[in-house]
Amino acid sequence: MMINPIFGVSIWLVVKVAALILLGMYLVFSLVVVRQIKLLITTLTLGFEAPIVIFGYIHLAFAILIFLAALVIL
Amino acid sequence: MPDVFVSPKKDIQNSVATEETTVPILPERQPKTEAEKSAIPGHSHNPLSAFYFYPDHIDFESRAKEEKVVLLLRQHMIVNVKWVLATIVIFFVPSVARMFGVFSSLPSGFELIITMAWYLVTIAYAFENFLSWYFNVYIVTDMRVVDVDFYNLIYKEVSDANLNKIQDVTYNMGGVARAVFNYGDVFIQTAAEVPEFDFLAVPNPDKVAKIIEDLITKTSKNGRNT
Repeated sequence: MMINPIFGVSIWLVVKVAALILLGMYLVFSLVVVRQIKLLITTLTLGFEAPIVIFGYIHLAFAILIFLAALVIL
Repeated sequence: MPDVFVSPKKDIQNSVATEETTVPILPERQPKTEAEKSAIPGHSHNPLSAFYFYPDHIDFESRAKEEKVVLLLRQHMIVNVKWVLATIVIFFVPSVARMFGVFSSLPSGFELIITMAWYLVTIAYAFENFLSWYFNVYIVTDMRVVDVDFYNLIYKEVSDANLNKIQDVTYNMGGVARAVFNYGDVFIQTAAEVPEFDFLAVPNPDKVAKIIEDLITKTSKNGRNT
């Protein structure tokens, strides 16, 4: 689908940059989640720590994967 | 002249005896072996349990060396239904959007990234709700009550009150769901810095209140925390 460029810049390029900024911010959030899980575990040991830590890292890996995919595909 | 009506004498001794023989939920002495713990109703090995009597391997930051955790509580599992259902609905949104041709106007590649990002946010939503439920715990030890609140992933609040500062323990169980699944709120009034501890939506609120009352009695008898 053709969309007229604004000031000579394609609208999809603007959308791509916006998507990358949002995904980059989400990547930082995923890092904060991993860090926070570590802090939660030091505050409380309740016997289910390993699966939570692993899930935190899977979430971070998924966020990195999507950021890289957006960088390449869009 | 004989009395027309004589009030029957109450068997006072019997009523007192009945009160005294009310079996306390708290065992006489702290169970030490696994066999002793297993014999207590409410003892569980499930780390996701909402009512954990004499839990194993539980530790928290400010626990004293000689302090024993008697009860660990979190909100009843049923409170998670709302966000679990919301997650299931959100999960199917990209499929429905595809059916209605929402992505057809987008350039190639955008559909894949939007779908992946959507699932990422859905996972994060479910994960954060789970963490919030899992780490929001109420701990009753043989010395104090501790309330650990994680309001979100970056803010936590831990408050505690010694058992000898507790003035009143009440509970309520209003509503159909609470009656069916046997959960409710326990309110603990204290003379400590935090005037009230609210254990919200915890399973067996009657037992929780009884256990705390038994611990207070035991503490005052032993003269601890003074």
